[in-house]
Amino acid sequence: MTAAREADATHHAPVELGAAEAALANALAAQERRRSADAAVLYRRAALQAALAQSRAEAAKARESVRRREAEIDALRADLLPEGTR
Amino acid sequence: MTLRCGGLMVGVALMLAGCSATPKRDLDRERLAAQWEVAGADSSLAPLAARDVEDLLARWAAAPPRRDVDRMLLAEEVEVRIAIFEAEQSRALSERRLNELDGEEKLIRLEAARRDAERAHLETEKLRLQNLAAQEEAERLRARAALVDAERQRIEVEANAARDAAAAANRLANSRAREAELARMEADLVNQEAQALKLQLVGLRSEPRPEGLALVLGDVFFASGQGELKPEAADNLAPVVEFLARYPAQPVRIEGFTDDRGADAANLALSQRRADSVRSALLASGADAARLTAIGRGEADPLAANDTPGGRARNRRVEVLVVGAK
Repeated sequence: MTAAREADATHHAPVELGAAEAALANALAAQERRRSADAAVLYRRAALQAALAQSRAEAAKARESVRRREAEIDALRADLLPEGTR
Repeated sequence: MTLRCGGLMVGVALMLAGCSATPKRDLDRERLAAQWEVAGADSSLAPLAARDVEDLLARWAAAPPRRDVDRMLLAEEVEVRIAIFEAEQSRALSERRLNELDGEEKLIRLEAARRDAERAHLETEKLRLQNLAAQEEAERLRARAALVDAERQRIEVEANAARDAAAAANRLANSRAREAELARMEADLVNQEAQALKLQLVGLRSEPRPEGLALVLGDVFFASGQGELKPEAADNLAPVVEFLARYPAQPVRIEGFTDDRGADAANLALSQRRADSVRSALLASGADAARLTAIGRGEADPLAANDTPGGRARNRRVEVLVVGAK
């Protein structure tokens, strides 16, 4: 969960992070009710959803980096290789 | 995804409830395997995530869950793992694109550097041509300056020559003017001397001597140190001739005298030459040669003391003595 938050999943994968947090909360609740089997399943689900949130956040950030980088390259091209200079 | 997972779990539970009695095909596993066959066609971009999915599917195929709930949980995990794989694949594609963009940036910078180099080369070539043109212009100006300088030197030489010629002409004119002035002064001097001689000759008065009467011709009748009468004196001896004509019967003795300067013998010889010169002039003027004798007496019988210039001038003389005249 911490890794997902550090990957800025709150911004880039809020649904997945929300699911992970809900599963974690349910797991804790099941554990308090001493339903260990259900708690283990829910912990497992929370871990999977957190991993998914982290991956999707990192993928979204990478796409954002690509867009930013493409804009930079376009600006660089316009700056260094302006049209009509050949 | 959560909703989708929830729906899946419900579906799986229903299937398990309806068909648990007889063995049947595991539709969930087949569906997920088919999904994975499409999604994981190229697993090279996210191999670890792909292995997770494949391990799950393999485990599912090798040991199918007996309980529905286990099958449901396994299906859920496979779906999430496929989703994770897709996210990892997307991220890998983005990173590949970023690498491509890095390469593109390098190419852009390389091209920009190449253009800069080309521009610099063109600029250098332009400057080289401009420099060449400037050198040619400087050379042309130097040549022009050399021509102008040569022309200036030629004009200067000509001007100097003209100045020298003018100065020479001026000097020549001045010299000729001086010569003319000197000639005029000399002529004036000669004329004055002639006039003076003429006046002296006209004003000659006889002076008594123990042996007769004498006409005294001063040293102005002779050039300095010379024994010959001056030409203008020789041409104007008419008064002397007239004086002699008054005493036609008396002999005439022409005596030369000098001052005491110089050797006696030289003075005697000079006085003799002067007496001879006067005699010759009188003969040329028509006097009777038989009556005339000439004698040099040197420093004898001075008329004045020889210690002053005036006294010595009086002593330098020729006397024409008419012997026995009264």
